[in-house]
Amino acid sequence: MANVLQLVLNSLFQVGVLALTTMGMTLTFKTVSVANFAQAITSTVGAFMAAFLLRDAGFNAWTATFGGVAVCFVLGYIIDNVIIRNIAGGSGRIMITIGLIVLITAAIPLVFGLIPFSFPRYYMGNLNFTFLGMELYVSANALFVFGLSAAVLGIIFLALRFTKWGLGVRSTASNKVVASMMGVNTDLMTALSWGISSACGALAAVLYASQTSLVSITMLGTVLANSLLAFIVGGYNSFYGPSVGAAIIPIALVFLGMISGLWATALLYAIIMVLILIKPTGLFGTKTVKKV
Amino acid sequence: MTLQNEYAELAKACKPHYLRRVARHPFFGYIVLMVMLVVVQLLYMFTGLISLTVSQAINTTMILAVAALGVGILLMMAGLMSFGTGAFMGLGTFIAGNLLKVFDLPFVFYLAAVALAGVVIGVVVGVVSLRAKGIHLLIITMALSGIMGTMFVLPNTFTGGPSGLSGVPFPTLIFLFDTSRETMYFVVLVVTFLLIAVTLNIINSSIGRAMLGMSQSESLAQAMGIYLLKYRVLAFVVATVYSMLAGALYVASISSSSPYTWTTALSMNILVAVIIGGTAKPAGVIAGSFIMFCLDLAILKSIPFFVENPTFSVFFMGILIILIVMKYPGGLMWMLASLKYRLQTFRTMRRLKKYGPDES
Amino acid sequence: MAQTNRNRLFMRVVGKRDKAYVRMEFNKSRLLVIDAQIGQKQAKDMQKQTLLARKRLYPLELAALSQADRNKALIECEMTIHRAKQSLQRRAVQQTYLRATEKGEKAEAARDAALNALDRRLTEKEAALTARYGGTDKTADKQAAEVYGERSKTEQTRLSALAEEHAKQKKRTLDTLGGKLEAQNGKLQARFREAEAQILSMCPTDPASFGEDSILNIQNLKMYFSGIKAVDDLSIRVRRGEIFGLIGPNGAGKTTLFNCITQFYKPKSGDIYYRDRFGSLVNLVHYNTHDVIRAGISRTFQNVELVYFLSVIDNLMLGAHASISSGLFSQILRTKRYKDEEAVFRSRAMELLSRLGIAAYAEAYPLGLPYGVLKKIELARTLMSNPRMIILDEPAAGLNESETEELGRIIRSVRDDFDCTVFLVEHDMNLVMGICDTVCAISFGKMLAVGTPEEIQGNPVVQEAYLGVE
Repeated sequence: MANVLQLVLNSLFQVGVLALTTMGMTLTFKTVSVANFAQAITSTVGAFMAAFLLRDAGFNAWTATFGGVAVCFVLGYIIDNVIIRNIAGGSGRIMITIGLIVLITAAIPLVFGLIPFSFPRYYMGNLNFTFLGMELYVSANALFVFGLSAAVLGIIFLALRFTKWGLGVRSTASNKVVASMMGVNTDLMTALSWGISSACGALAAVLYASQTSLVSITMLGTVLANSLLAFIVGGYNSFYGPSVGAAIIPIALVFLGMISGLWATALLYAIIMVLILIKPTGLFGTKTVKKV
Repeated sequence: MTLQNEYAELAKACKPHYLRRVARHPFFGYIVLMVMLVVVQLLYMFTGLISLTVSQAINTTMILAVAALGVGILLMMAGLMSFGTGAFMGLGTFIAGNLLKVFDLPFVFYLAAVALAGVVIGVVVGVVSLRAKGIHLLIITMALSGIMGTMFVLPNTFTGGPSGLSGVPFPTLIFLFDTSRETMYFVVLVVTFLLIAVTLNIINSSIGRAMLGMSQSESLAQAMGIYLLKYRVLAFVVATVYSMLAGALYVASISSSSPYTWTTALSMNILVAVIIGGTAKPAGVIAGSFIMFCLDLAILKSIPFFVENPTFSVFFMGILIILIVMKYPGGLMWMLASLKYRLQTFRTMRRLKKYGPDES
Repeated sequence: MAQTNRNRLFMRVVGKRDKAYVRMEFNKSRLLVIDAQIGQKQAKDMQKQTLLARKRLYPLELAALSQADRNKALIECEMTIHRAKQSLQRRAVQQTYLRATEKGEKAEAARDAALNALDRRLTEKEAALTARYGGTDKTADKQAAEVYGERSKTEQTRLSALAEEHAKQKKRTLDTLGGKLEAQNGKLQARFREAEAQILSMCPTDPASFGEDSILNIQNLKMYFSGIKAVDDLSIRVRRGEIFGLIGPNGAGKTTLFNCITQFYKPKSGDIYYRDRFGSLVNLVHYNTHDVIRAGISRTFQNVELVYFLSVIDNLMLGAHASISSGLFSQILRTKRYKDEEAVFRSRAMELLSRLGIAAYAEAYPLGLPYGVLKKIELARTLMSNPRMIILDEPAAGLNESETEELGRIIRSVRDDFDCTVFLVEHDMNLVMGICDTVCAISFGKMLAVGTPEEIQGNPVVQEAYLGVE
């Protein structure tokens, strides 16, 4: 029992990172209706930028993090403004995200050089505590990662619910044409969504790097795959569903890993297939009645 | 109307247009292409005018074009996207490779076995992921290909672990002819040609119309008696079978298969090739494959700058993709069609300017 | 649970029977189409052979003429060719003149000079030809005439022999195919009868309550959308062969009712009984959406739904999708059978298009065609599946007055010629009152009145629903 709880605690930082990445995907999917496969690679640019600022420009970890996130916000904003907006239709946009993956993967070594980067932990050490008589510990940095992600997610949800921006985004997601007729600047909304989603991704990437101390091009590969799974488990036509899915998946992986370490992912995949067979719209998705 | 004029008209009417009729046959262009590729290989084998790099690049491109044909049907006809192409190709190579190592049968049997496996896998994955519209298939195939990628690398006898499958013998044809690296090139061409014919049949038949109708309007398709799930799964099965056949061709002509080749990146490249072509018609798909793969493998690899800086060639491809999707969203075929239209208009305008309006 | 299983079994048997029927129908039309195909091919061959014979005979015919006649013919022929060559040049001269006059220059003199030069060249040519073919001997060569007569007779016999051979060949092919098809049809017929007997033994409803002459009987239909009653306890009976109009104010639930009949929405409760083309009763509620068309109900859409990547005739072929009985492999390998089937439906599509007067658009793509034409294409598409009942969702929406009138005529003629019932929703009262045999008015999902157009026009309840309470 103690073992299980310890494993769950160990996967806390993954929950945080995954939830942030998935939030970014949801924002772009809802506003531009494109599954942004380039999410991972744009986020990686943020991690590289932060690591670059820290090592070569001499900033401290906090400023470097902020710098990376800001650069990614601008990058996302530019991607939407320059490329995505000028393309009509669904498959073309997905193709663009694939093109971006190819482009950015090649561009990162050209810009940042080939010397490997690393990123330090924000907080060192572990917190030891007893819970129901069990000796447990949690890494201080992981707790920070989880807390910061939760806070950012909370802020985004509150903003979606209560601010003018949130209203704009929700109306754009619901019906773009009507929203623009009602005076919502849908172009600004989508550009901001791209910016914020990239920033979320960059924050996730930096946090991930701080925990694993590793900055590489492929660092977010598994996170992207898991966030896509979270996306369909939670139901991609709701705002909060994917975040719940993001919380479920790492913890499910912990439990499945106890059954068989080698086959955990395959088992998870099988379970998700069964879930989709039963409920095609995901856990929190709703079926839309089509108009004939 | 005099006798002589009558005669002139008669002669015109019974003049045989054999050449024109041949040129109008739907397979004519593809046959010409195949003959050209055969000539390229013969030049490589007997004269050395063509380098080994180019011959191998064309071979690989044709194999990938087979997979792209399936993806073309899935994407351009049924409007669905899959990231599983690469992983299914890999599965095809391992199944065919193991069979080739154990049994000594004509090549057709391996192809049939692999195609059968493709049908089974396609139906299972398709039925699960295609019940709801949207990005389900995309995400599930992406996850599937990730999982299959990791499983290929696990140490086992089926895939040969991280080092992959190697030393696969070249297959025999019809019990008689042994093949080699050079002659497998022709086998690949023949199989490709047959699959092109099948693709054309699918596009021009009731199946193709049903898929197109379905991708445009689901309610229309249902009202016309089209069972959506059936045709979605069918499109996916076709794509899976094609990619697994491509895998079988790959392992038979290259005689080895590394698990690191079969990534999502390969699937994405194949998707991009189809998008560049812009149509499900084999002409577009093959043109797209040549731009996407042959350009890189045969031409960029022979320019010293790109050989020294491989990242630049990737960078270049990325920019090419984005530019093509932005500037020509309809793909190459659309570009050609619009060029043809412009040329026609130009000619008509010139004629009208010189001779005035046509006498009706 | 048992009931559901029974219904599923019933639907399966119905499916089996429909499949056998579709195949038998195809076999019947296949013979006709193959007949036509062979006929076409042979006619082409005949024409070619005739032309070749003519070509062989021509020199003999010339030789048989008198010298004067022959020369005249030859000169005339060459002159025609020269004149034809000059026509383009003349047009160019005219065009240059027009351009010059547009600029305000005087170019008449130049034009006349150029035209005169052309005329002169023609006269010169004629003179040269007359000089070459000199001779005015009027006597014809008797021997040559005899040879010509003989040879033309031989050619004639050869041609008639060929025609006979063609006829024999055609008969042979058709007989072989006909025998094969007959055997096949026998088997299909047995399967069909078996299914029919099974269906009769498990009829889902009491035929008496259905009504002898009705085709559709909707009983206590209910459909809710999250609490809103779109269709509330509605019962409607449609008689066979009539044009049934459904009217009602906006939001009355007309389209919902349509979608319930065609199973786009599954009704919450109630039954939709329908008498299919073999006279057996089925409950449409048990049908899948894509199977409804196989029962003989085909529909159009409120906003035109056509596939814009397919040509008009291919769009019609899409309408025949449910009637195409070739299997997957037959289509993938494009067997003779599938080719015949395609030809059958293609000829039918052409027939329908020319009936509706839009055959000229057959190879065009629907994007950019006039709206009236698109509506006609949709109507033609519904007829491709050989329906018993056509459901039209606002057919006159977006049409002008004369187009609406024409549509009314077309709907009537379709009803008469294709022996089907028409069920339509329409806002255009002129159309509804003009063509419908029965009109039904509903409001807020409830029935207001049913009757002939006159009765409905005079009904105070309907007027109130439309105009509101004073």
